[in-house]
Amino acid sequence: MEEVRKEGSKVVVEIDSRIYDKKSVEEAVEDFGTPAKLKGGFGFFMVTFKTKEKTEVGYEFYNFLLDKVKERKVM
Amino acid sequence: MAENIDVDKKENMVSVSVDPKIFPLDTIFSAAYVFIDDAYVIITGDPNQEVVVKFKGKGKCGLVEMGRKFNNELLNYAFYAVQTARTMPIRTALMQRAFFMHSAKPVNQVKELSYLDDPYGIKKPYKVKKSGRSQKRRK
Repeated sequence: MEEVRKEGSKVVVEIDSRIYDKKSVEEAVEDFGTPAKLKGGFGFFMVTFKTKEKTEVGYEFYNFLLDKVKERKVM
Repeated sequence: MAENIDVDKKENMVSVSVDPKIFPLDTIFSAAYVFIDDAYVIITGDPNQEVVVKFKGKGKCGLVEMGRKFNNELLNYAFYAVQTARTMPIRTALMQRAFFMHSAKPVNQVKELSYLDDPYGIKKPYKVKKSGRSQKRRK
């Protein structure tokens, strides 16, 4: 499975729902600077960015999500 | 590689597989968070079987070294978690003591004072001072 990939003019990020909780993903999508769409799938969440840029935005989102998870779980 | 590290030089990525029975997910998150400035971190896998942590380097960096450092961080945070759990009762006791030492006396222990009580010793009968001046005026 490729977690971050380019699909035409979109960057698609697939997030494992067994690892990342829904609330953190929703919060990350809301607070992340670039507008994105969130969809739920079987065992994963799909976040889509409409951008002409490369996949970097997707990887940045993953780091942002980790930050959110850390914030929520307070470790 | 004999280790739990798998390097993909083409993608500038290193994957580290972790046994979640040894290192829980919270520990994995904490350890991965340390690398947030140097790499993009992706965590996948089954939290009951095997968790895979992928690091995609932001610039040119030693991928194997990064994987090994992550292993060390895992150990570091696991140790921290164990120590925290072990010292929890002591910390709780200290906190309780700190709070109770400086708290006011319980309401039922405070004695209500009547107007006759004089805890500070300031109750003195009133006396009129006879100064020379006033006596002269009277005359």
